[in-house]
Amino acid sequence: MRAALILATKDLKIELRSKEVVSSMFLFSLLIVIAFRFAFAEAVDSGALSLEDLAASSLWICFSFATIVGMHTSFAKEKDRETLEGLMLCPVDRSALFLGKALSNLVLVFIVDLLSILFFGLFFAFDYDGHAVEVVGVALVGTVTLVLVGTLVAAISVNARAREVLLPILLIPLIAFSVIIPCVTATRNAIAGELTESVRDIVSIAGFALIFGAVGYLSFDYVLEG
Amino acid sequence: MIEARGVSKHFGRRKVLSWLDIRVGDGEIVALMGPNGAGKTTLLRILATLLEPSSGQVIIGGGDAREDPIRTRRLVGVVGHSTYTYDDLTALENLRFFWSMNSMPRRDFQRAGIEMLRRVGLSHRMNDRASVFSRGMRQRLAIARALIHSPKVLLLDEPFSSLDQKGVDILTQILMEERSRGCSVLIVTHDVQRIAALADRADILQGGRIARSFDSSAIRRGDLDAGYRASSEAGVA
Ligand SMILES: Nc1ncnc2c1ncn2[C@@H]1O[C@H](COP(=O)(O)OP(=O)(O)OP(=O)(O)O)[C@@H](O)[C@H]1O
Ligand SMILES: [Mg+2]
Repeated sequence: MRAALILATKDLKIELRSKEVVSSMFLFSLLIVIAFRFAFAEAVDSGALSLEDLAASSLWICFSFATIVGMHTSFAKEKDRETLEGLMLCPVDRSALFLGKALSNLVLVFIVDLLSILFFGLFFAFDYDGHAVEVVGVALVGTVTLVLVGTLVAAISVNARAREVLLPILLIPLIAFSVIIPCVTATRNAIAGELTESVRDIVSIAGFALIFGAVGYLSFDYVLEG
Repeated sequence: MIEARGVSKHFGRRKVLSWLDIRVGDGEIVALMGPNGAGKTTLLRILATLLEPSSGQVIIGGGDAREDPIRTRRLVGVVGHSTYTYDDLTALENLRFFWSMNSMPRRDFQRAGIEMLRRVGLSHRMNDRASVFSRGMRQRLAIARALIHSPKVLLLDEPFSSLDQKGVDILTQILMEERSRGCSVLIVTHDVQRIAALADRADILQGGRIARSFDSSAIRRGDLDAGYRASSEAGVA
């Protein structure tokens, strides 16, 4: 899958120069963490709301937003700048285009994941009870799934007229049950040091990653011809 | 070699191509002309595998284009309405990307990329981003991009647009070089004068098929000029 790597490298190089996508994803997550910081400071201090719950939920809001913003741009940018056809003219399997886009999206969203985890820790002076590594691990597994679904949906909606609307409408219900709910639970358990209780969640998230990955990989021929 | 046999294409109920046959041999330059909306771009997109014909067969380099699209794409170089280049990459990086996507050997790129940019007259700007290029420079880069993997077949949709006189001369020179290399060239253009010096044949697309064809001696006699004018006067297809 050399072509996928070449495509991902190209996307990341362009992103490194323009910083268009990461900067908007980054601002979204910063905004969410700040808003939560001020909305829930008292509830957290008084013990009415546990920081674990708040961390798990707000982090996944950040990650989902980052995904939606990032996915939207990945194909829309190629389409709007009329380079998508140039990609389609390359003698590579369409599935390589899917993998390449998913890979560059994964890198970008995961960077924002790490930043969000860092921001939350800083703003709430929270060290994830020493389980930050597990939190990052859950974030990675969940993000892989998010990005695979997101890349597929972004490609499906890129030719639609109202794709800005279509993408979240298709994407949010798909990810709500397959990724967000199990990931929030797993993240909370990870912070509590009980990740072993979430093994089933994680297996199911990874299972969805496989399913969506396979669907994207196999169907991309038809998706892009649209 | 480019060959289309009985190609039809309709969009909804609008029939654009019907039972079209065309053939461009190795080392041949064919001009595809015809009124606006005749279906020239549509035909080029079908030949380039960007569009599926409703029926009919396309053969590129001896193989069926639909059966093995990847092989076909490796053989084909396309200059389309847009340049397919990335603004945030330099001229050389753009070429390197398409070079690699065509599985060309990485170590040979530096020489080939610089040589390609020299041919289109952009070597002095090779490390500038495409975003700062003028329209004509972008068109030159698009030509370089289409040629970077040494295609056996060239499909060009109004490639002279926005080129200055020097650019036109450069492209003419390149096309003659490619022809002597054995490349099959199909070039959509409205410019009778420019193509007269270059084409081995001119096909006029009208009513969904090749309505008339002029060989090089007919072109030189000036028949194409009159014939093309007549077809254009028939109005928008
Ligand atoms: N995607 C499409 N959907 C519907 N109709 C289309 C589509 N693409 C082209 N057409 C129609 O097909 C016809 C031929 O279009 P095409 O672009 O091939 O013409 P052309 O010969 O290249 O014209 P021009 O000289 O103006 O470039 C037109 O009537 C156009 O409206
Ligand atoms: Mg056209």
